[in-house]
Amino acid sequence: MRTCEWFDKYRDDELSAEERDRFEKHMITCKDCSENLAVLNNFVHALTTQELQIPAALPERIARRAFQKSGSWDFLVTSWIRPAPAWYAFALLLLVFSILWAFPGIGRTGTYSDYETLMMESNPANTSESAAQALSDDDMPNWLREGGSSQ
Amino acid sequence: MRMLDSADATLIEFTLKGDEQAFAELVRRYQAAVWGTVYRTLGNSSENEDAVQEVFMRAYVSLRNFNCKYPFGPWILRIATNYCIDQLRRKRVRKCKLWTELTESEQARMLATVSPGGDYGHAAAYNPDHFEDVARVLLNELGPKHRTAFVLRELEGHSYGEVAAALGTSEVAARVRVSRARAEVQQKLRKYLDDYRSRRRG
Repeated sequence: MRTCEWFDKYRDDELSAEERDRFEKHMITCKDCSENLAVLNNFVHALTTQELQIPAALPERIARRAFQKSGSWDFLVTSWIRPAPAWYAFALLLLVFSILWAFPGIGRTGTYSDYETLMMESNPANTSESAAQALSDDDMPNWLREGGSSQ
Repeated sequence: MRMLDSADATLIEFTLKGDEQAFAELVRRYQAAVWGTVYRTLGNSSENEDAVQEVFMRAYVSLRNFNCKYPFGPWILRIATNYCIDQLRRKRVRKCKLWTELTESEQARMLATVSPGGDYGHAAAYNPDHFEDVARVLLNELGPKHRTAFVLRELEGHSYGEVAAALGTSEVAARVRVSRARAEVQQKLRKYLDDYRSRRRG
């Protein structure tokens, strides 16, 4: 690892004492690292010198507003909706699957049953079987001789 | 009940039972962290109170779903960070111009106050009061994710673990964001000062 690449670790104070020494010696000769550190130090210092001006009664104001709002209908709705949109997606999916399960005719199964019924009706073997059952065993040879026509 | 001695979990429990003072105490404990993060990320002092109120209102709305086994601090910081990223993406808060939107004379005037000699702002030439304007413009140029990571680590002094929790990323990702934000700030500010120096010479 090049010493320049230790910049972040130096900045975050994550170097060992020996590495820190080496990096500080390196900065004497490395213009890039020393200027980068100066720029960053000044940049951070400029943005943090100003004291934060927090209004004195802010907590009470926020608490009052929160409790005033907690009785309103939009608060009740959002407090239930906000936490997990995923729960709502899951509930919706559950609803769709329960409908499909409760009414199987809606899905593919219904269409398949119609198809099966039509195939059964159009199969000549099924027609002749029902006709044959209608005859007694004794009538069977005569019926076959006559060409299997239904009565 | 002595609010000052109570644990956060107790304050949350009392808040949910309708104790306004308990919530006020909870806000008091975390207002500095939220105020600092929001102010330094969005950089808009006039609307900062509204922003902080909004963050705590969001927390209050979701309080019933907060798991008291976990600390409250990282949770409220995450709400604040998400709020800031939301606002930055909507570009509602960009009151300050980007560097490229400034005229050449405005740029020169700002840089002259930072460093009359055109160096990198070493102690002798450095004026923090004036440097804040330049720093704010530069911070504004960072993307929302890099900016929030930089603010949390460099300006608010949080650990990488806390930065990662606030951003909802891994610690490695948080380190990468902070490092890139630092590099962008360094590279841009050095470039601006170099340009300014060469213009002065020319």
